[in-house]
Amino acid sequence: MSPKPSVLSVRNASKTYRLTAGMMAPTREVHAVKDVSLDLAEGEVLGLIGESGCGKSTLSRLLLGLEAPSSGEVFLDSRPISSLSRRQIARVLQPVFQDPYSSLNPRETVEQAVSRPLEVHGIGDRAAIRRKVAETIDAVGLPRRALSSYPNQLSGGQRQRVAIARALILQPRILICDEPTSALDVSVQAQILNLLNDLRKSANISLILISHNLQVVQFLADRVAVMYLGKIIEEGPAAKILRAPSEAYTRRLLASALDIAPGKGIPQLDNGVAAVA
Amino acid sequence: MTTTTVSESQPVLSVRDLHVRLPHRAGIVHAVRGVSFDLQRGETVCIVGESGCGKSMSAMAILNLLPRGAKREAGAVSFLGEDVLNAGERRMSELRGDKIGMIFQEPLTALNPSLTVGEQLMEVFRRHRPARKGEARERALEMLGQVGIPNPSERMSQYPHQLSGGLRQRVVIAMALMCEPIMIIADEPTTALDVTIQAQILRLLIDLKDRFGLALLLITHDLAVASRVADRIVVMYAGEVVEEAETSAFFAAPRHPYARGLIGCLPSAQAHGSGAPLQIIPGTVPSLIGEMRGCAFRERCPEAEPVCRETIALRDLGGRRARCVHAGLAEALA
Repeated sequence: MSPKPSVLSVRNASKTYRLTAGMMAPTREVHAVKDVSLDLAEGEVLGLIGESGCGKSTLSRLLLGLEAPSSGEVFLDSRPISSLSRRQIARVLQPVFQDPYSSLNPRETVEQAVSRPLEVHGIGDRAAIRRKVAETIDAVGLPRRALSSYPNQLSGGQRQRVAIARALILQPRILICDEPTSALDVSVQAQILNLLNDLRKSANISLILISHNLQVVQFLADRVAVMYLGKIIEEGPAAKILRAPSEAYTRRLLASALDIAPGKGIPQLDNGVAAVA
Repeated sequence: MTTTTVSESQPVLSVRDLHVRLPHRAGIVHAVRGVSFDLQRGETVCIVGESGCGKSMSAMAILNLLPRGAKREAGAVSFLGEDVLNAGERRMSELRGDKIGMIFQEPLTALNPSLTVGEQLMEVFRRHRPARKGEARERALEMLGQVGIPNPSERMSQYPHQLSGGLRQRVVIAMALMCEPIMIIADEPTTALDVTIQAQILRLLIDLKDRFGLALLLITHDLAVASRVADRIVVMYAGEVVEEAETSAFFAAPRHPYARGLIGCLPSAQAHGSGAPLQIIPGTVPSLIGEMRGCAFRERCPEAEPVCRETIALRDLGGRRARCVHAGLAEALA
């Protein structure tokens, strides 16, 4: 357990989906998340690493309270998330998604998008909302004139800033960022990573950073959990896991994360974990 | 089919002053602005740059596969000395899939969902070769083996949707190799794949390239990948080539401020745990609509000067080129 109190914790959560291929076909069970336990401490950044199909997106849906686990429980400030309403959850926990192109309503201006959560939660009068929106827009590094823009008038990086502003407006204590920079160019990725890093320092926000990009995780995360086939196979301080992992799969992931190395070629990975794919 | 004679020094691909213009609601987008480069026999050239820089458009223009409405103009595009710019689509469709192999980002779009793996591979072969079915089948099996697909004869009768993303991309690579190409153009071939699969596929591509002595034009946004596989790097920004150099020389000392910025903003460039922010490139890419005057990067450049408002040519720096007024300084002082 971490010395600081956990703001979000998962206890033995599993999620099983039943799939049918057709009327006559037998039902198949897919164990997307298997017996996962995790703790997120206050002000901490927890990196969740894994490849497609490992269950990290299902886990993020459980963390957001969007789906209930088949067994086990998610706790928000020590209260079972299943006992909280959507609104109660939203005040504490907000998502930031991968694709800022599809996560924003194309017919809403930036001001409408960012102020919407305040209106929904009935927080503040018009003047207070305006002030709060302006402050938040400043905090994410968008110019004030962007307030009257529509998403299609903004670049990918600006859209992701709008998505982050919208997530921040209720002053949540936790952000769940699912591949927040995967859809962005590297020069824009750097800006968004710096922004997330500033937020965790200045606003004391805890972050769960879900990513397949080890360099992104390495830049932000204090602690890292590696997910494979629905399970957390390894967890610990970022420096340890990313330098000296104990699991073969993590070593394989690290070996595949390429850095700049002129003429060094592509490493030959052993096929010990996965067959040719 | 025309036979082409190849001299040793002749480049496989030579592109001179290539332009692409696309109609857009707001005007004509000048997406590729005078791109020139050569690709030699057995060489790997990586074109790197961020989205919208014109790297894919350049590849599509070379292949004559531009979207409808797009206009291509060039001084010259030649493949093995043959003028393919004015050769017409009929000749290009002979070359594509035959002497020029193609690999794109998303293997599902490159494969026909209603044909089995075997049918597609055999079809490519028989389109370009007067081959019997049995011969085509043999060739397909051989190529599936070459790209490391286990149980090739079983895979032959499967459909693309029955394969994982990595296996599909292996099939696409097998297809590109069916007719013994001389050059492969690969546009972000591993971007849609998981990291461990990406490493496997890249490794395969490079192994095959060496085994068959192919020239490879690799379009990628990933500088790490480019650094590891390229003999030469071509950096594009806002439709122009801003730098071209041999790979180790490029990474040792990039001459264009944009190239330096791009390398600097990678998270791996930052020492872990230092807590310092990542380097950024301020501002955004200029509009590509209409003509541009001066250096396209000057609004974002920390070294910009009044002279940067004038048109800047790609400067020859002895074995490398850069489009920057400051670029010759290191050489001049050396």
